[in-house]
Amino acid sequence: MQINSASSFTPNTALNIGGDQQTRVNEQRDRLVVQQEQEKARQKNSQNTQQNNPSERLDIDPAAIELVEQNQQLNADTHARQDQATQSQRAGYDQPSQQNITAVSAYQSVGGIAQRDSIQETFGVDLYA
Amino acid sequence: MPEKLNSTSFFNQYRFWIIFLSAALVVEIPIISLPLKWFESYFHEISHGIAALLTGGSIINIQLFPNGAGLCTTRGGSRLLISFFGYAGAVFWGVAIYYVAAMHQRIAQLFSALILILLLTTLIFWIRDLLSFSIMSVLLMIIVLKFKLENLQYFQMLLQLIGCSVLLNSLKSPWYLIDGRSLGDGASLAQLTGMPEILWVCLWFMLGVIGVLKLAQVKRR
Repeated sequence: MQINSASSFTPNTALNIGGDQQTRVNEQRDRLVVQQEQEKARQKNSQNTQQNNPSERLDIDPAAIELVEQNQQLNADTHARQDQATQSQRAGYDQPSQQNITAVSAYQSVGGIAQRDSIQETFGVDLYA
Repeated sequence: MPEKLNSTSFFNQYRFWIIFLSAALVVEIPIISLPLKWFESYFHEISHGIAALLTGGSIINIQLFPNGAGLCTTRGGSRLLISFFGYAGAVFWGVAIYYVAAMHQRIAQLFSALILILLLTTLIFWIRDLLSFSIMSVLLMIIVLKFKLENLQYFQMLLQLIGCSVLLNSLKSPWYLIDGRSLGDGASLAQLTGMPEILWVCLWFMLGVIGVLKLAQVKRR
């Protein structure tokens, strides 16, 4: 007596059943299993590659970072100094000379009679009102 | 006609006092008095300067202020003489201007030309600020405009008015030094000589009074 069960049969059982159709189903199932295994192997391989490939990882050396930062700081300082020098050169055209500043301050302080004595001593001149 | 002659002789007899009193009135009028104050201030400061030059020093600059104040900055020279000749020089200039103007109309013109040269020299060499420059320009204008007067009698009288106002101011100004602050020419002289400031003020005032009395005796020619 032969018992057919659609829900549970094994290849051995199918082999035992025999016939072309049965053989084709078995081939397709085998191919699917192989494909799944290949897929898993490919994924695993890809993961390994990602973990082990140093060229694709961003490895940063702290010493190098420090060096770059120092370099940037140095460059920034140099630029700031250059800008300051350029600005002072540009603004210097209307800067009164030291002689004029001294003369103006002396002139303004003359208004205060009490300060005349100190001016006389400083500039070696005599003031008569 | 005799009345006119009488009034003319009265004016000539008391000419100095009339002009002197007129100057005393004019210097009390707020704006008109300003140029007369500037004249007095200028002659005071230039006297300091001339004293400095005569005693081997030099003038650095002269400043004049709208309120009639002034400042002369010098280097070297005799401090005693430079300090003394501020007020004494103003008396001298007042007397000289009035006296020369009373001598002759042409001499008055010549003397005005000399004052003009002195003003110009000061403006070119010793004036260094705009305010003093403006004040000096006004003084120059007054002297130049005086030459435009066709009637030389008015020319003469205006010059005498300036002389009297300079003299009047030189009589009053020394008393401003008595302010308890020990500043100014009197204090400098007191420091240099040991004589009190009040004595120097009295001396300058006496010089002014002598000048006034001498001018009162001058007859117009």
